[in-house]
Amino acid sequence: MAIPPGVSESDFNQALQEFENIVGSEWVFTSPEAVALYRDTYSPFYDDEGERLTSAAIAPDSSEQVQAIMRVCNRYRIPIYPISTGKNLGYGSAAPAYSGSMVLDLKRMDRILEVDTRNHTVLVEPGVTFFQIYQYFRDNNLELDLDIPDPAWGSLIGHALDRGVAHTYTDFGRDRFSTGCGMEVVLANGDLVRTGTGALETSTMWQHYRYGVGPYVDGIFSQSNFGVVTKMGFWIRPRHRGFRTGYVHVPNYEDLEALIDVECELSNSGINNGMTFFGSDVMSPFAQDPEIRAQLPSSGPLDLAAIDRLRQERNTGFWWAKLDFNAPLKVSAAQWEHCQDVYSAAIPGCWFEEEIALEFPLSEEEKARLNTPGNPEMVHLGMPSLARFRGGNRSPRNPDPDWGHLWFAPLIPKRAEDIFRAQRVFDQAYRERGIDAGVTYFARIPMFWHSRVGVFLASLSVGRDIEANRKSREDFLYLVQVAADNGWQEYRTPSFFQTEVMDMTCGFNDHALMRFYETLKDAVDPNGILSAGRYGIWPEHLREEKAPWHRRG
Amino acid sequence: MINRRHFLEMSSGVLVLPATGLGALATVGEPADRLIVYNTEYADCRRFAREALGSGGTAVALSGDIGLRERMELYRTLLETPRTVLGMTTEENAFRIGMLARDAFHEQLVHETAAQRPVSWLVTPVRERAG
Repeated sequence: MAIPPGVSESDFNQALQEFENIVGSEWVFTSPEAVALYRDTYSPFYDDEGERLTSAAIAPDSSEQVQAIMRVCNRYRIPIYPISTGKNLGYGSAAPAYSGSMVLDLKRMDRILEVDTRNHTVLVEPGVTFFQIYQYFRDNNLELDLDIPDPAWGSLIGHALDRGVAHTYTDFGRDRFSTGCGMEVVLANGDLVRTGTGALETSTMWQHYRYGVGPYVDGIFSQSNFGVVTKMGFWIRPRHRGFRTGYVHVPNYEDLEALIDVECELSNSGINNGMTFFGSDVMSPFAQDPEIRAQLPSSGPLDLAAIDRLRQERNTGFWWAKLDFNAPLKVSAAQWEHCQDVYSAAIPGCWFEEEIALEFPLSEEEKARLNTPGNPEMVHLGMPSLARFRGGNRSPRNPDPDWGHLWFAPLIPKRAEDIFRAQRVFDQAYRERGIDAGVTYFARIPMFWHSRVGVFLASLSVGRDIEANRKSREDFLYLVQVAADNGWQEYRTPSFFQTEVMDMTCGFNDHALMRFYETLKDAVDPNGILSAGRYGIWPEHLREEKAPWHRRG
Repeated sequence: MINRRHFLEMSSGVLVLPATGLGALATVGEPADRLIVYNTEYADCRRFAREALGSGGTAVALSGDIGLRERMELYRTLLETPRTVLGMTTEENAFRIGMLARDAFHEQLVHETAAQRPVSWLVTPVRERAG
């Protein structure tokens, strides 16, 4: 049995006995095969020095049990790392940021506590997954929906607290944390706090007004380690009534600027209310046409003249924007018509292509077509799916698929000039590091999950080859620094690199923000038991060793 | 009967899960309690299931991807009553069920494969049954 760092074996054994008294012996895990469930199978440190491992795990069933666990952890100074479902593959999964920590596994706390069908809110525990709540709405004939990320096996609360994103409405969960309304939090000292109007014992609107009175603190419990969120409210939406997509095609390379600027005007005014995708007719990273593939090397600038010749031969556009509308079809027809009017006035030579118009509920035939070429993905309609994993499947074209990956996820402003600059910068960085980009960065566009920035998402390969994993780790940190040098910050980052990323991207005024976080940490978790190192926030006794900004004095 | 611990020890260096047949998996777990998961569209999977069900258990037939309801039901079953699950499915479903098994405090061993074909796998609980 592994012992958490800084804890004596006798203290740990005593604590385990107390944990068993709290949750029952079957929910305290110390055997190697049980603890292995919390190992990050896709860690770039796998089997190498620096791999973050779990010493033991405990799975409580209630907020009261979490409170009792916190008190035991404080008594014996046991580092503990909460997870909801631990499904954030590519960002660290269930493994703790501080190796040797116990995992506090909250997935047994999976109750859907309240559903307001009239004003569209839910209150859930951390173990409630997107699969579960979607099924709950259907099983109970509730006319409700919510935005679904993919894969959908994660927890609403985990997704929100890691500030994850999804695919449908701008205002209904694509930025999950923004839809949160009211939290119940167990602090590191075992105290129980309810935020917002939940502070009023007789509150009738905990999930309806997020601020309450006084400071608004919910944000400090995301991407942090100040408390264990044991309940959280969310704003959801009435059942989907219709879904429409339309393409705007523009003829010239330089038209990307107007294509994006007009989309900003439309989406920021709420007329285009879904997630917009941008791409190219002639240089899709997934292009199968051999002539086009020949123009898309793994690195280096594009021969724009050659690509434009191909464009003209094929009579296609250069760029497209796919606009999504989530509304009854009668409404979205007017929205789409207005979008076409605005684009026509702004970009000479643009043209339009209506793709999909679906009314809900879908017929069985329509459902059967989802996730097939030319049809919407289920998640874009707010339906849970695991189909995304097909992308990495073993196939004749991909006989030896990657074992896993880690995500490099820099934010880029939603402006064409920034995208073009990012393409140049990352292409050069990839070439300098000898990273195989697959298809040149010049053919890529960020994903606009957020309303005003895009994520220029890229994966770095992770496998069982220790040397290759080391290279991926070095590449990742190099890319984060390159991004930081250009003013671009990660929107979230794997647990094993959070300290480095915070160091590289939060340096303003001698890391004043990190020092502020540390002040908070010392106040709410003086023994430093909770999620040590998460997003670079280390307890006082580990700072000198772990936080580079302290070592530099 | 091979118990779970014995099986895991064997599999660490000696035992290879069968690619197309039941083989050593036949002796893992209580036959009557076992779930047998298979993809109906593959003859290898159907044969695997027939062989496994011959000694008892409950079949879970998948057609294509494991779906929402199947996933939720399998998860609930494993969470509430830890048990052995034998399967032969597509590699993709094996991965999804492996993740589901983790959620329900079970572990999965998968037959290593180099070709695009169904894979056999074993899911076993890591906690004792409640009560």
